[in-house]
Amino acid sequence: MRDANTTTPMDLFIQLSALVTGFSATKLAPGLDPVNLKKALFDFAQSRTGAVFDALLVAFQQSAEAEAGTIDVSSMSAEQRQAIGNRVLGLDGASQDAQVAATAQSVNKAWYLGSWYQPFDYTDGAGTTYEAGSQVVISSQAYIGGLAWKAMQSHAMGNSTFTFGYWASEPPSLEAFTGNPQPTATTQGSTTQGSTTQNQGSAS
Amino acid sequence: MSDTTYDVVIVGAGIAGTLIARELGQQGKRVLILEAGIDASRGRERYLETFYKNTVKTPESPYPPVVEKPSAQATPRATIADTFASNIEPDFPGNLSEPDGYIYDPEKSYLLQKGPLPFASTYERVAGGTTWHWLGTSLRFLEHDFTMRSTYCVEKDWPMGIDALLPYYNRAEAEIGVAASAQVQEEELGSVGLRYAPPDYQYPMQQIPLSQVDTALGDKVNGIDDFVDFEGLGVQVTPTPAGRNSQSIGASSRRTCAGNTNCIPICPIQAKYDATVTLSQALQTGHVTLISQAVAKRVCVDENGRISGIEYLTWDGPQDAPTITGTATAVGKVYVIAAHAIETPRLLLMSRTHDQGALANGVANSSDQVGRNLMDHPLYLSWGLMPEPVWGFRGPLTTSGIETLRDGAFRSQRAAWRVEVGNEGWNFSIGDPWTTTNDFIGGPHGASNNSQLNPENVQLFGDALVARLNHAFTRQWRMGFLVEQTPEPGNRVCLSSTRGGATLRTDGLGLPRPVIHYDLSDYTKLGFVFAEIFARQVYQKLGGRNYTLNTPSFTTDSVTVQNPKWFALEDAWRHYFTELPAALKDPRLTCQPADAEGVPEGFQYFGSGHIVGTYAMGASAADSVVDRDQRSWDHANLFLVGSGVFPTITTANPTLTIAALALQAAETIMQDLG
Repeated sequence: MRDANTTTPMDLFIQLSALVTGFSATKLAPGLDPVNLKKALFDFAQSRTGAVFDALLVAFQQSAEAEAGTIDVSSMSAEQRQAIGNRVLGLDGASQDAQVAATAQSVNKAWYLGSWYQPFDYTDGAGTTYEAGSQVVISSQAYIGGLAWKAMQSHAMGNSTFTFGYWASEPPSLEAFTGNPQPTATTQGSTTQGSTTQNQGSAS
Repeated sequence: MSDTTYDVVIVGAGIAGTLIARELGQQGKRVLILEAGIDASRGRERYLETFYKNTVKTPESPYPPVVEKPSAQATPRATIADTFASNIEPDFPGNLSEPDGYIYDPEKSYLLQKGPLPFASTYERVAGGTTWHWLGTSLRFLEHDFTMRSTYCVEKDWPMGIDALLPYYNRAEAEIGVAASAQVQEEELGSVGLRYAPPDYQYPMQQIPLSQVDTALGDKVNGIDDFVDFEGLGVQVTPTPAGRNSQSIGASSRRTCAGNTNCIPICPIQAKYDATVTLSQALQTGHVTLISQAVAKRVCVDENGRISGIEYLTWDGPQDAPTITGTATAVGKVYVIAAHAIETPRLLLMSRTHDQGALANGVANSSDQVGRNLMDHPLYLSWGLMPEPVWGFRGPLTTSGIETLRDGAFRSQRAAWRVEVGNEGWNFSIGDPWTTTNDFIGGPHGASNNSQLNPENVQLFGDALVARLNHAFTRQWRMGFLVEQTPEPGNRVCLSSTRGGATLRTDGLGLPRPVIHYDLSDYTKLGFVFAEIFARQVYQKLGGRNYTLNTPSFTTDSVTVQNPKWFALEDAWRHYFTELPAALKDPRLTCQPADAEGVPEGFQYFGSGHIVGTYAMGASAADSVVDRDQRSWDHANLFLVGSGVFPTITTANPTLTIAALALQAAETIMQDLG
């Protein structure tokens, strides 16, 4: 991690993204990154939210430095990640700008689904207005690289990275996809980190 | 354009048309194919890119026209998007008695749906046809599928038995490159009437491996014959014969399946057969000509009742604002209409002329059966969670099915079905991964529990989000019950006209659009009742839970509209549920909404994409459109091919039988040409 003086907006974006997605920064922004999804998502989010996007990065930086003394998510404790996420997403009872919190959600959805869910009505410099709730696929690569596919230990529908017959066997571990050690992923309604409420969405 | 003479003129470059063209072209016959849509040269990459970037991933999403504006477009067709809730007319169903009243907005929906229920299946109008988005399932029909009237006193008999079709099934499986084990199929399904000949018959490719979903299911249900209401009928999860490569063989060396989980809408690597394979072989014979963007508008008949030509117009420019670039008449000795089961009757009906009395109802329609007996497999979708991970969203969209319940004495009372086992989690069921992901990232802000997995509206991020989504996605699975629909003359394709004071509605080329009258019979609806009873027992045996929603209505912005693709349970059928053992009334096993006794309010259905029956073959000119050779009873040099010729829809997906019958028709045409 660079020191605070040389922290770029992209550094902040990647660490914020690691925090909200639960995927490691090295999975989101690998050293060798020909697809460069981070830039596509950064540029898209900024073009659709303007100053609010900048404010989101600032909110993350301030919260991270206050809570953990670093923006590097990989060196934070689970409690620190929880507190910072709650702060940025406005889940901790303290006031958070509603547009900033909504943009953080949209950034998370963009990583997971490759689509941009417009968080609030926004008119850009060219006079184009984007309505809250409108939705667009950011790019083919954003669709293919969506983290939802990795969270299911698979591949984007229509872009298999596997070979004939792989479906007969169990997939690689979830950790291999997220780059992070997983709490017991099969535990339902557990006190897994990051949950603000006991999850009662119980299934079987 | 010159009016060249051909041996054979074919309308439609789908699987039926291209197989016939290839067969005849190989034997030196001069063949012209007229294709309404674009040719295949723009290719897979462009369709795939359109698919990736489309916010909806429906079966039609990669193909033109991408957004329906049917009154403006050159080749609009039915799409799933046409039937989205936002397109339901606000005064439905009360509006249907009005001349201009349809279920869906006619500015959005190409099909003008008069109901009372909507026809829910779709097709493509491009070279290669609907095989672009077919699933690849290549099942043979069963012995009794051909003899429903004589065996069970319902539906109709085919004018041929299974034995006549067996050699053509072999050839069709070779063309498509079907992967399966005849030994496994025969062992598990011989008892329900699956047949092969000769006895040592082998499929051209080895069987596709079962998925983890299939195996988990099979472990709990295989060999069990005590399902309540299905006593004595064994249950077996059988590998599905599929038109997807398990081996890379043959001259073209198409790739083996990489499990893209995307057979519908598009296989990115053409491991799944589609008709562009055969089209390309046809063109390589040097005797076949394809004219694309050429829409047939009239079949012409001479004074002797023979077809004398097919008038068509050519178009260019954008779909939404096409330019008609010319009109011509294609002339041949024999004519084949292979435009699928909605566009084929549309063309025959558009060809009616009052100058020739016999043609007042349209060409080939002295029986008044053209357009009638429209069928589909209304699909009962049942989705649930497995108790342990099964890792769906991997492999081909389906690799197995339960085929053992496709035949039995019960068919005298209610519709049979096959069960297609899905490998795509709740993608078809609720639109995952989008729906569940949005639920958990959005939490109370999204106010969403659309997945039913987040009833507390929790909002998650980080590790907890990953863990929760992984838990859900790795356990999701579904069954699709393909329910046999009865042939009903009132279920029909007509043409838009000003009759009764209605507004004439045309496509962008000025041709009248199809009006659809459609309903489900009690026999077919009863198939849904038994599908639900069966599904509950599957979830029970798995230790899983049923999440199936049969939504009677949709509410948006406090406006409630009836779900058109839903029908109520008849009171007379309540006893099927009230008489079940108490354990099968547990709300964790029942679909919703259901009452305290587990009696469902009704059922939602989907289309299977199996468009069947609108120019059925039969034994008599009085009540069928073509004979067993698929030759028009009225016009000796006219053949109608494709699933429109099926007298009944049976219990299996239609494509393999379409191909088998097309190969049979090609032989007959060859004999005619001498």
